[in-house]
Amino acid sequence: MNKRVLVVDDDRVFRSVAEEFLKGMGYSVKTAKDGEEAVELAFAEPPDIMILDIVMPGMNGLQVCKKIKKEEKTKDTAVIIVSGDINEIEKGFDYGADDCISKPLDWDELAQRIKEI
Amino acid sequence: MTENREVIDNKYVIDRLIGVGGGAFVYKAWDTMLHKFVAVKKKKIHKEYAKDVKFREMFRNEAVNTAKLEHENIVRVVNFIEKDGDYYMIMDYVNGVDFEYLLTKCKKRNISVPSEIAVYIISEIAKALDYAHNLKDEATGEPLNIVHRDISPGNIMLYYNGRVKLTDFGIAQAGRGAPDDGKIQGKISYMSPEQAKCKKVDARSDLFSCGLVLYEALSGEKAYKGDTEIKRWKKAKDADVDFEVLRQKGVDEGLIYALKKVLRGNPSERRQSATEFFIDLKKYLSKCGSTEEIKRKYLHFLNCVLEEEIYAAEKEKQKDLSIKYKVDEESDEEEKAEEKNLKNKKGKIKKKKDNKKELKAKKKEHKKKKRREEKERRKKLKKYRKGGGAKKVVKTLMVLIIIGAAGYGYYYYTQDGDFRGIFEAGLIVDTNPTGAKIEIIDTLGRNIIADDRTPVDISEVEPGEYEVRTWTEDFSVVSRDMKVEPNEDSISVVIANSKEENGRFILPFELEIVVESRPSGAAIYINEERVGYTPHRQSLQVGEHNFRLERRGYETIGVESPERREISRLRAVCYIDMARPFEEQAGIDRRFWDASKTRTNEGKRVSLRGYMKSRD
Repeated sequence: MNKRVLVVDDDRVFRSVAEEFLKGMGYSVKTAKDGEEAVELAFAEPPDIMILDIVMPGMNGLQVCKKIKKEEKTKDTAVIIVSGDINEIEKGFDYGADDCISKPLDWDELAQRIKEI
Repeated sequence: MTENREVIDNKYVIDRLIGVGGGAFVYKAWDTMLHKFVAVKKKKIHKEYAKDVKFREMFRNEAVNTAKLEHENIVRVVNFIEKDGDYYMIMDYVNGVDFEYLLTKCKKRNISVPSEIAVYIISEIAKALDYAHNLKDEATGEPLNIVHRDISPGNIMLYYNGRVKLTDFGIAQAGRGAPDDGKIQGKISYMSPEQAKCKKVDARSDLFSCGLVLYEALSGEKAYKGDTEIKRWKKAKDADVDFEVLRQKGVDEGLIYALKKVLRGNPSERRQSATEFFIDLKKYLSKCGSTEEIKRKYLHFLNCVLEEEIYAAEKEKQKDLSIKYKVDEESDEEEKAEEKNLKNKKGKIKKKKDNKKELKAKKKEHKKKKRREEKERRKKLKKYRKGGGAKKVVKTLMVLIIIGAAGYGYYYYTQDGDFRGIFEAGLIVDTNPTGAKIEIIDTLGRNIIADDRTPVDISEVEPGEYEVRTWTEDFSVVSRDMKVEPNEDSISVVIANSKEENGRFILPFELEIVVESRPSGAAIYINEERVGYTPHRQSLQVGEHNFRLERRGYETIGVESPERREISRLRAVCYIDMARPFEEQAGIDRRFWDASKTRTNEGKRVSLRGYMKSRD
């Protein structure tokens, strides 16, 4: 079965580019526009990988990461946080993120990191 | 003032030389204005460049840029002075050693630096570089393109309180010659290939150098091997690094991969930013524990390896007080002399009379200002205090205290009988044992309270989240979260893992205790609670504890709930005050008990052994 990837970002353009890119790699992709939607989707059907932007209105990426990793149902979802802020990255790892990719995003690097998971 | 000491810019009184290197002398000095110690770096400009106006301008610009760097992982430059062709850079004084010193000491003692500690140190430096590389000019918004160019263990400062900071931004380069002028600059052992080839360098060169430092810390060897400078320089040009050494040392494959990524010869194939490098390091660190756990491990390691240095630094602080007071006294004497001078000349020269008046007016203004400040302070406190001194305490693992209006006075005497101080009112944070070093850091990494000893008054700490770190010579750093929140008519303070006693937060230290018995298998009671059977190991908060051993067929040793005033007379008693030296313990009947305190990698440990007599 194809790996399920959930892309969480409030930027519509990023979501659609990421969806296209990851589908091209053979993944089954869902997207969420904010933290609340991401948690809802993840709890309903836990993805294998979550690509998670940190800066979002409402529940931010760090809060989502903490919630996902705390919940028994979703704790095995591999979370890759997307951030350019070193302090957020540090916090993300402390909240249980499995990997991180810095902004501006290098798509090949992202592909590599997903493969490594 | 200070006739025997060199004074820079009428402000910095040189105390002593503390370091030499890179064509510069570093002195410890007393800042007579801000009343604190600073480091003064005196740099002589090479004759070749001294008359070159363009070069001097560049040097100055670089100093200005360096002074703009304000980050928790960068040693702050507070002033820059040009005097008689010499340049003086005034920086924050570092209470610690450089990484080179630690690596050398570890090598001498055959200690290998644990991977997670080496990676933690470099990850802190990556934070500093991320900040510096991305810094923009405030006015124009243009990138400042700051590149350190001289990353080496000698420029990585390790504070005894656990902070890691990078020093010597850019200046080391400028002091040796204009950048990119066709001359080899920097230390060959930590040079990027582009530096070794005298090409233009950018931020990626700093990352490469960081990788070389990490390689050395992990392997115990320099990355460029060779018995001559020329051989090492050739290796630097080719980025010739042997990763097999790291494998032989058992370094994690993921970490080797991260190093390979940052040590690529071609800058465009290398990790492109400090953030990317940081992610690689953090990915490895997250496998070793949380940031807080790693910090703790790092501090333990520092405390173990640098025990003598930390002790010496503490001793030196006593000496420091003498220069502090001497300089201040001299300043006072100078002021008095000035006043006397004015008195003597009274009536002779009108202008001098005016000076005296001016001085008086200044003093009056100063007093007024102080009074105003005090009033403001009280007003500020009043905002948080109301009611009749009611205190509400919620005690679980966290302690929440809401302060009432009355406040309280507080003073104490140290174990040596020295008076420590009176706190007018408000919130006190103390430790058990008291007199521990304490610092309170806000979320931006700024020290709200630094270099102080418990108890401290925190009533003026602004609402926010903080980290409280306490430590002593005997106990490693204990870190706790503190939250200060304003309520409608009061202020609430929460400090994790603390207890409240008579309006004071007490932050206890913990000791590991190992209890054994002859014969083993005896039931152990600590403070009348059975905790297990010998041999037994557990953590115990510093305080007074009563021990008792029971075993079938043997006489019980230790007594139930002993009266403190009688403890020295009770047979087989074992009542220990963990905060006091063991030779002073009156509550141990040494005919039945052996007790000692030893230092381990994890801190202090108490070993207790009871000798039980058979009933037969």
